[in-house]
Amino acid sequence: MKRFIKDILLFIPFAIVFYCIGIFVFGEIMPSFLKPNLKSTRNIGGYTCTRLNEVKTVSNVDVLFLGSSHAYRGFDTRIYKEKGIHSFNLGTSAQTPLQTKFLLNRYLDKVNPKEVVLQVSPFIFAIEGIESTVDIISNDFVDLQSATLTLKLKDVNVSNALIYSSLEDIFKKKSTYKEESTFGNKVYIPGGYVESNDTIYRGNQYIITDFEFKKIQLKAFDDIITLLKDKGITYHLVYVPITKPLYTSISKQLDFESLMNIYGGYHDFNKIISLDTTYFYDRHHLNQKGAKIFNNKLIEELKLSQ
Amino acid sequence: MLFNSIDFVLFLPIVFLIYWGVVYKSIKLQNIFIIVASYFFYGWWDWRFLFLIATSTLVDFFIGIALEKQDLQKKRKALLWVSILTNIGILGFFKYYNFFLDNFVNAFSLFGKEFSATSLQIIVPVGISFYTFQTISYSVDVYKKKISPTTDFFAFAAFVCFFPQLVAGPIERAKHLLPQFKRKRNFVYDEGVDGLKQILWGFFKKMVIADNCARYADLAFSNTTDYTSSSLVLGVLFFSFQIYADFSGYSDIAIGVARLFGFNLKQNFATPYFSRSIIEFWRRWHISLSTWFRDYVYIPLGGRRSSTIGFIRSILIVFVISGFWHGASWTFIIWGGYHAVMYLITYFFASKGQVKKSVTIIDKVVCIFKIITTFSVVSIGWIFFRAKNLNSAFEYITHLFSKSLFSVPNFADIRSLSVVLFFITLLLMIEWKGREAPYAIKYILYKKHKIMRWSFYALLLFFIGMYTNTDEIPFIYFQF
Repeated sequence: MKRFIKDILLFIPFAIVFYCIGIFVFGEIMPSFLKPNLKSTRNIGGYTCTRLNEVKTVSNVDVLFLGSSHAYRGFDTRIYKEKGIHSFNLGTSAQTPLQTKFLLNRYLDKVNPKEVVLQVSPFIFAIEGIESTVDIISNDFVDLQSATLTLKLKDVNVSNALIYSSLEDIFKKKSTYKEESTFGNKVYIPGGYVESNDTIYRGNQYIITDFEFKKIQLKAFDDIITLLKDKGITYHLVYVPITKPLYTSISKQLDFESLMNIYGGYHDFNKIISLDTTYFYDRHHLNQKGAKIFNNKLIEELKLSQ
Repeated sequence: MLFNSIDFVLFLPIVFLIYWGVVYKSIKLQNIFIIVASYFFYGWWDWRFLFLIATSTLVDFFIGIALEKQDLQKKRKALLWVSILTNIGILGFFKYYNFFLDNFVNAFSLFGKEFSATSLQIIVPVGISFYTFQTISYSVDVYKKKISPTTDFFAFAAFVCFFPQLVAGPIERAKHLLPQFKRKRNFVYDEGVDGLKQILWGFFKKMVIADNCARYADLAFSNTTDYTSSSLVLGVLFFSFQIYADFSGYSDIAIGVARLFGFNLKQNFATPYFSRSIIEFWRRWHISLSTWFRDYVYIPLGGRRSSTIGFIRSILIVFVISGFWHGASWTFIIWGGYHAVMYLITYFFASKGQVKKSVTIIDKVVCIFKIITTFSVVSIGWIFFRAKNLNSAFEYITHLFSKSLFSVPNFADIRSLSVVLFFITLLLMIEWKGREAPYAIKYILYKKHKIMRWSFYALLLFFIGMYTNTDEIPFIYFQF
């Protein structure tokens, strides 16, 4: 038995080293279809790498935006600047409360905002947040907090991203990387916003979707609100407009509304403004025309310029 | 608890360490611990169904003892029927109630009689077909005096619920497994290493081959009309490897885990896709079930000793029941019937699949031809097995044989598909090399330096990490 245990204890580090080398080699040289569980999120239009590099240079903002792509394609920081509001958009693809909490723990003190706008929707409470964690871990530095989040999610994509990202840190590969600022018809605007002028939305209908809110996300959301309250930061919960067919396909809209009302400061802009399909890039996201109307209304509604 | 889950990765070493480090001094303690661990393992999925296992255990344990004490043949037979009816009753209610009810109603409507009945929302308990067959075989063997009943309740309960093989076999016989619960187990280094290797190979088959094949098989079977014939051919190919890698992978993990605890389970698969005939295929596929049907259905029906008509009848009955065992659906019954017909055709008109050493090039070519033919016949059968109903199966077959058979497959992601094909090829190469061994990688790099062997195992782990399908896909045979 002793020999067996000894061999296992020797094999485990051997396999870990072998695995890490494999991840690094595959990460460096293999095309994406040959590394399905090591996804690259750079240069695909989310701009997390660029945004996370930029946030490190930002401090003392008036408003910090957080949330999923609804956030970084909805809150146009230029419009706020025109009105004298200094803001930064820290939205990332498919960001859920778990990653919002992670980013706040990491950057809240540095950015030091007066107010925080959290983009909320039923979608972000219904997913594990794997895609978003991979996105953030791949594009930011690795520390104990990243490892803790990885352990919490127990997903091989996240683990692989953590390993590869750690090795990139060790070999200082991230600091030399620069994303293209334009991807297709999406343009990164300093301040974290992503502008898209086109529309590919064809007005499709969607079947009714039943969401089940995950406990892990509800808990993380609770922690976020507690953190903001503890720091005395005003927060707003904003449901960014989505297309009507998509909005009406969500069966738990009322449940969601009740949940948000518990925390206060909730604003559903699907009810506040009415936008037709020409104001959307796709079923989820506003285009520039839509973003302009939405942000002006948001400033007015939340009285941000005061 | 699924083998391919983090829960099991934590569960296994804890149970292993307690088993060998804490309760190792007494066989009884070890057996009690196995029962507790097994009930925990099963209850993790749904604790309510533990009562079914407990019922089956209690009934067969006491009937075994009663059979031993009883000399009157009539009473012995009655006791046996109590055991069979209890086990089949549990199985029948949970698995077949709705099937019979629906068909009963449909049959009435054929004669213009309307008969209304409400189907029940019944959850089929995981592994019910496996442990009920195991306990039935115990009672039958005691009845036939092939074995003596055990008076050690804990050994018997552990035999029924032994967690590695509880939910999807191999279906063990009391004669083989029960004595292992009664003798002292010593940890043997080579057995432990062998167990771990077999577990690793099982995980590779399940997580890399089966779960990735599932993506394409699911696409082809759920959207049949959207795909060209060539894609549907690939769809069947992927399902053939999915079900093999899934089930044989499970069996490898089960056998490997049992080895870690000092138990030797039966081999369940012996590279069945290298069979040269359907008869040989059924000697190599799901061996524990095939031999169960042979011993408890086919031979009692007369087997080969009966007349030709009797033999044909026995084969048809065995295969149809075997199909029905897999699921309460006509697709499984047709699948069983199809194999019965193929078996009989092979039996009467072709060679019996006796293994003949291929010596000349012609022998080898003939051998390869036979393997491919057998694989094709088996794969066509899988269409019935996989399709959600008979209409879908026939629709699949109709679309399979059309002009687009020679077109390029129209799966959206051909590059990822090529990766799956690569792994299937790798599987076939390794299985061919290790076809004489109890599991394929047993002797791979056996005589090479430890670093070489460890690198190979680490490479398999890397493949699992890099290529596993991250959607948690349960083992197919859990539903049976």
